Amino acid sequence: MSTDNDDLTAAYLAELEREAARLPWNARAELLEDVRSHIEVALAEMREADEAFGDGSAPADEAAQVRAMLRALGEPREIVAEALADVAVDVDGAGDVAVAGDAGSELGRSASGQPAWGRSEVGQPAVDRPELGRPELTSPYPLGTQEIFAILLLLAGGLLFGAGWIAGVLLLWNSDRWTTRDKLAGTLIIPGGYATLLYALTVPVNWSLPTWLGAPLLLLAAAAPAATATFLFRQARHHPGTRPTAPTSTTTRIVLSLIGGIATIMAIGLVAAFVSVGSSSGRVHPDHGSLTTDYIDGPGPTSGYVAPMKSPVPPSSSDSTSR
Amino acid sequence: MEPGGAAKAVSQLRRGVLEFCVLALLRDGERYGVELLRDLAAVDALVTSEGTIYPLLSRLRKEHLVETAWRESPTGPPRRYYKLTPTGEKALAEFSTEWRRFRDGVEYFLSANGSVEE
Repeated sequence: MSTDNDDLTAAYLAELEREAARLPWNARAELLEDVRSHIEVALAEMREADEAFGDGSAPADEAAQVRAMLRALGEPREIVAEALADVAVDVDGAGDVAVAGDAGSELGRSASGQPAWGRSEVGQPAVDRPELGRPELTSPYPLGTQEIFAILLLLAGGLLFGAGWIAGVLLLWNSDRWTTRDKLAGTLIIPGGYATLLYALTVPVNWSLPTWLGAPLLLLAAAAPAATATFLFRQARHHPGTRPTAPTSTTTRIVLSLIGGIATIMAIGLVAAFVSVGSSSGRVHPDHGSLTTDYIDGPGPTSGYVAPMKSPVPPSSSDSTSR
Repeated sequence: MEPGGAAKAVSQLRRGVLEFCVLALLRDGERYGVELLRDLAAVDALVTSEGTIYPLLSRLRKEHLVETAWRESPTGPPRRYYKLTPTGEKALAEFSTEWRRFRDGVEYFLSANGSVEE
């Protein structure tokens, strides 16, 4: 109503928000929402009462009421301390479905005001579930859209002609759910994700690696992106971050749509180029795996011998041509 | 005993007991935050600063002792209603039994001491 009272409550909420910076974001979001709602409701009821009983309540009177209401709420520091004690208990007691879960979804309370009793996750144990399946139900901290996209794009985004992987890297570094160490790991193991492996397997090269070196490398390239994704998923789940990412931040949306646009354009262009090249010369024949075929047909475990990529003609085919 | 001892003991007791008072308040039906606090504040000595009830309610929800739902109000802003779950009812019943034994035990010693001194 009067701006003075708005100032009072705004100052109180601002202080609460400052104090609540110590809380994980989902606990903080819930606390702020609860206290903000408390103030709104209390103010509304105050006015109702005024209208019902006293007519024409003086603004000064109302300011005093607002002050009393805020005083009754207590020091923001004290409230946050209480919340902090609970969070500490939650993190220690691994058995509980911890802080998040439905905090995010309830905050988006869809204004319809429809009752949502009986949340489906009630009574579900907080044991690990299939990862990325339904991350909003896993504990302790669910991944935001940004984190999920980051991990997926790092894994497979490279297949979108590299652009997707770059988007993944941007999202990774933009998130506060990972430490710098996590982000470095996510970026460097392995740049390009599975696209790199696919590239290594399908694009013919003029050199080859000896089996003793190539085979472990291939295994590594196959396992590393999945391991990194799992690692990132775990890290994000155990690190709440300091700002709410749910459901989708504007930055995320902008980055995703930008990259999506670029990827589409590149995809169209590259497909067109590929088609024209493919029709002009039948040369492009990614005969499966410069690396893999070598392991099978190649010179075996004679270490140090670098097999020339294209030269060794399989004996069976040379037989057939000689005949 | 140091003078602050009693205050500290009471504050710890309050912390442990308050959540069951909240559960008891919800026994007769759902309530929203401001309503709950009004009832709690009607009894002295239980709540010192009202805002701390929200972290407590949040914990009760996480422990599945209460459920919450946002409801539109015909007159004012939407309210978050709290409602006892079956688990919450069970916890409340168990605590009620335990509390009576506890209270009787404490009473026994306190009153016995009192009568000795008088």
